[in-house]
Amino acid sequence: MESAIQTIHLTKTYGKNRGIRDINLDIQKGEVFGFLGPNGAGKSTTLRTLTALMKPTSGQALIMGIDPHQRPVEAMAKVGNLPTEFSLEDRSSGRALVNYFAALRDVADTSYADEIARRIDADLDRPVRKLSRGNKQKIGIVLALFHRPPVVILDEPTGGLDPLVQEEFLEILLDAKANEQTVLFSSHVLSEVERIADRVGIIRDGEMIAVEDQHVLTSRAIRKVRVRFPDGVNGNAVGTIARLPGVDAANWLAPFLTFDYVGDANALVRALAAQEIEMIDIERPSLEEIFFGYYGKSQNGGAQ
Amino acid sequence: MISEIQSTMIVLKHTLERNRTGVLWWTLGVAIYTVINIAAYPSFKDSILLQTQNYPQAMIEAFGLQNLDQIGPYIYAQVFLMLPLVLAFMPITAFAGAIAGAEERGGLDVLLTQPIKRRTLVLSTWMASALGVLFVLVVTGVLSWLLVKIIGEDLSVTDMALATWSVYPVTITVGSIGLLLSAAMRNRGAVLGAGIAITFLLYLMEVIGKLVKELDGLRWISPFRYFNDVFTYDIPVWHYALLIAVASVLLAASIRVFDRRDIFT
Repeated sequence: MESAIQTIHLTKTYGKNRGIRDINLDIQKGEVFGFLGPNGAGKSTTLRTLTALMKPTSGQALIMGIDPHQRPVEAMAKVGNLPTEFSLEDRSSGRALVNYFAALRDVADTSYADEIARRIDADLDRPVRKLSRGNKQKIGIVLALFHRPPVVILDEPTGGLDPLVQEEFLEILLDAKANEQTVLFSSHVLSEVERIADRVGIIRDGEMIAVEDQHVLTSRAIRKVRVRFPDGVNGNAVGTIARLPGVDAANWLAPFLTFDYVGDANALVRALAAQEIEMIDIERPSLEEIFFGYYGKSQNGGAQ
Repeated sequence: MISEIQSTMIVLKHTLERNRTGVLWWTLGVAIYTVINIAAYPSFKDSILLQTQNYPQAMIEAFGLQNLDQIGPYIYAQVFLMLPLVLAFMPITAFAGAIAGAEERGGLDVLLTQPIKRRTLVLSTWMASALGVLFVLVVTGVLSWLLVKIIGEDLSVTDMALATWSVYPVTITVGSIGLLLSAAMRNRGAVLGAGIAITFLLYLMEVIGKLVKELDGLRWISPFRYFNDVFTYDIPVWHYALLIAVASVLLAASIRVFDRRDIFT
């Protein structure tokens, strides 16, 4: 396997109690890597250090084996980047910006920009100043992807996009993966990560606290489950569910049984199927709940 | 991959297109100022207002009031003397917007993750402003010469060209202070405020240095010290060389400062 993105003991400190410490990542070519963490955890700092916008205090970042701080032109020629908070020149249209960056990248064929624009319904011909936040975000996505870069770095890419466009955008990223492109994207939306990421890294307080296969991480997350039993249900049926391994904080308030569940979904489904139930709700966990389930400590505690 | 020269030319072309409207407004403003002052010359030519021989010598030198009854010195005093001070704000404003302002808005994140060096942005921004100032000065020089002919005065093309050129090095040098500020600071307002304050301070050092003998020793610091009336005095070639050298040092320092720092949004 070939590394597309590497960070080696990457550390960036600035200000008081901010920055990232000793981040080690090795993302393979063709991999989609989700980078999760609460606001202020260090996601953007890591990505900005990778894209040479910030200088590392120590350690090293490599893009396709190239240090972006030593050889920024060669490194950035391989990267399509979408920053989290960006602005585009108000008077320019998306197409003018595509042409500008295509010239800098020596890309003659910009037809893929039109294809992406069509798929996510981006208007390349209106001046940026006349576009809404979501439509500016779409232009940013086109600019990051139109040249089919080997490495795509996206910082909270779906902010401001409506759900249908988000779905199409994730499809475009899966196309990129199929095309052997490497995608590193930060998010705090678990469903996006579940949908496309091969592996997930979790960062908190500037430290990488876990790198896992995506399905391992999400399977360990707490699910909030609510089951409605028929009126007059046998108490043994409720007790059977409440005593299942992985069930915690069970609360019976007839006819509803609510509980937290961590573990094998099959075991839960089999147990429920053996009972007579009227309805089941399984709530998708938030990012904080993933931390909680994964590390078994309070949100204010450290990793175990 | 394209060469650094090619990428500099691409960014320069883009910057020139973006600056085009601003340059045209500056040109219009300076042109109106020039037309009004030169068109007024026939009315003032024999006026007592232009008879300044009884003024204190220091004041005459400070405000370029010698030989005002001649068209060349008159144009210098009324038009060209103020141009470096006024036109220096053109690059300062452009630099504040193109680097510090763009960073403040998050505009640099997209551009600087294209395959270009940071110095490409600084150099292109500087070149675009230098060309913008040159355009304003060329229009001003040509317009001034045409107006001189229209009002029936005699002034050679060479003298007018030299007078126009004399404004350029000092304007670019003072403007380059704005580039260094923009490369170092992350706030457009702070760059504008500091740039304007420093420009006025340097201008006052020159003017007050001429008026107050005790402060004359400070004048060498001010770039405005190295700009004077080419209609009356010899052409200060080494002054121009010095100003161009200082502008080059400021440009190099800007590149170094900008290259070494983090980009925030």
